[in-house]
Amino acid sequence: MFSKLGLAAALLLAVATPVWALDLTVQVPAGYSPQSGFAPGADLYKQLQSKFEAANPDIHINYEILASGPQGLQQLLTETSGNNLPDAAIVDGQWIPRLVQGGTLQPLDKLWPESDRADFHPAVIAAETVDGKPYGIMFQTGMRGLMYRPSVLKSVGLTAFPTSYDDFMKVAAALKAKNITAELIPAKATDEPATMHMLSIFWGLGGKLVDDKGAPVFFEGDNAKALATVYKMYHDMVAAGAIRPDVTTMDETALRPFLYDGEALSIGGSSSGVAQMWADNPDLKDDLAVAPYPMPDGKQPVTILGGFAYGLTAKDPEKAAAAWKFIQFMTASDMMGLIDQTLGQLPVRGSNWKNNAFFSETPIMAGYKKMYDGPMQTRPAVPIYTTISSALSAQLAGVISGQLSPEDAVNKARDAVMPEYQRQQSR
Amino acid sequence: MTVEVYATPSLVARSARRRRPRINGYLFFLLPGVVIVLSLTLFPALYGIYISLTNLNLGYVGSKFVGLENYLRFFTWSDLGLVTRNTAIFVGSAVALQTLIGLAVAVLLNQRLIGRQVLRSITILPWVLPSVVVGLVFAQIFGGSRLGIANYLLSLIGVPQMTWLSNPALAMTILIAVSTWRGVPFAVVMLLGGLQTLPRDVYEAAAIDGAGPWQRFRYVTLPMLRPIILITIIMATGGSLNSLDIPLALTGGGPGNATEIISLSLYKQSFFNLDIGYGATIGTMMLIANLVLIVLYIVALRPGRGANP
Repeated sequence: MFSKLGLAAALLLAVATPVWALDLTVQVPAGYSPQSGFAPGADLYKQLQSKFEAANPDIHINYEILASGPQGLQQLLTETSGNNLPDAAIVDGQWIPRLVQGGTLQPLDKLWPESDRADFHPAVIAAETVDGKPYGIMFQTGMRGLMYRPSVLKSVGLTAFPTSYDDFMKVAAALKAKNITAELIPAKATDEPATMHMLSIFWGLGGKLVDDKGAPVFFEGDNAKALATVYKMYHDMVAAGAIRPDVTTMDETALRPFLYDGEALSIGGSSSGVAQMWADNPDLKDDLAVAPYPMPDGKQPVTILGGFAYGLTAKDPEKAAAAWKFIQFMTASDMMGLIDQTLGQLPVRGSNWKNNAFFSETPIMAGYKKMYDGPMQTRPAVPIYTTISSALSAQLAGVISGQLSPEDAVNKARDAVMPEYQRQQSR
Repeated sequence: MTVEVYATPSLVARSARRRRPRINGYLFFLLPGVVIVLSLTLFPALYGIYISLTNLNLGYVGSKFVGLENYLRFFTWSDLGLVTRNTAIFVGSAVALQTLIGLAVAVLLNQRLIGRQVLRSITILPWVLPSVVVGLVFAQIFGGSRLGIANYLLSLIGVPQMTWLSNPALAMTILIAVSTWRGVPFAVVMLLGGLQTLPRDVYEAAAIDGAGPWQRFRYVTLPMLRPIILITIIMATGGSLNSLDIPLALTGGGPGNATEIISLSLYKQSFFNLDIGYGATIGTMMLIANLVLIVLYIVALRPGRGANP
């Protein structure tokens, strides 16, 4: 009897999992796997895995979790040196140059058709390209801008959010008379989003953080002038009552009550927070829009591009071919649109903006599409970036309180960064 | 009469046994627990000291020994004075308040009050909440918008809303107050336990001798409670000095760096700047500070110093 049972079990197993199926290891942050703590995301990834394996019965996907944050980068670099990389991975777009340098990622130039690449924003392709070859396929991004309530804008007789800095300050004065703050941007020290809001304006003014070799240059020449202008804008807006001085203690989440309560016209925030804001305050579903930062001298802010990308890490030809099939499946236009909509992220394919009803018809998405069509840039993928980011945001409190002039703030940021840069150079 | 004892073999054996220290059996039963505790406390501390002598950084694979370079960097850090001052104010105030308020509440709860069991349960409540939740909740309470609870309550009595956490002195005061609120229950538990073990006959004797309530408290309770007070202060100091969750969630070191304490600096260096080696250096300095404070407390408060009324 036991031998019959054993035979039945073996047959069942053989049917369930073909013995010739190739095991593909895919290492991803938990939020992009069937183990995600976000239930709709977990369900979606389970469905997509089943769909892929049904279409490709010779391939079996094994998800492994990649550590979040910088630990994930170190995990991949360690696996590279230990020669035990997965076959595919989801990596932070910022890591791509480091991973290429470390030999982790395989080039996709011979695999990824040009026709498909054309569907992506040029800045997305540029962010994934090293020495002329693409090494990853970004599948999502988040954008930061000023989220505002059109109803509050209407209350001061406006229909469009001011795009120039001078117009913005006039609107701010009108709002101040009604006890409404025009804008709240996070300005907490060492808070990365605080730096990201600054960067959009800094880059829009033509500033550069680092040179082509990755050396900090934000304190030199025109870059220093651009950065000082950014600090001055913060100082002047606070002095005019357009921004509250206590933004130096707030992150993006802490700003939201001011928008909900109508105390602020606009707050700096990320697109990834929209779903939560709609849940917090359902009135915002029909009363929330996004605008770029008002800029002086007719300049345009640069939207920070950042997101996760699928990368091919397998070196074995058979596994590389299977992994590429999986990556193609997951980054196909319809799959990407579904993933982005479910996870509350923004697409990087033009076709998703056009064909996915959520992105083409939801009012706030029209604002994000406008930003998507404008200039975009990724943060420099250099080790000194985290120190630069901390140093830039750390000066905001002094500038806003008037204890630090904009020029001194630039110098202080330089003095915080350069010793660390020298230390890193000596490694 | 002198009794001469000759060294017979049996006498030599018994003498040798007396000189050889006896190993008590219970030590073997304690050994597994000691090994586990040491491996979870001593080993990480020693490993942290080792890391502080390297340039380990999460942005790179591998590290190398750099000697005392990180320590030199620590002692030449331009914000060291500010951070040390902030930490001293925070820890000193929080420990003093937790101990004093804890003692007052413990004395109160030691009385025969109606509903004292319920009161004891309520007193413990702040302690059972996760610290980071406490920090986030109080950040909402003291939020600068009209939706902040504190501002809402002020608006009911016609007081304009305040930017609680953007004033450096107020931010530090709120941070100390929240940490004290969170830490008092532990002090109450320790001190109440101590109060309940104090012998009643000493109080009766003091009462018979004409000592009033305050004299009994000062000359009987406090000296006998000294060992428990010492332990409470040591634990409160360790908890405050190493406190990260409430400061991070409530102020993040702001406004500016007005509430930047040493634990926040360690966290930011390690997890924002990814400089684990330097973060471990700060951690080692905190360990030394903890040990120095413990020694000072023991010297100042050791039992036997003025223990007799």
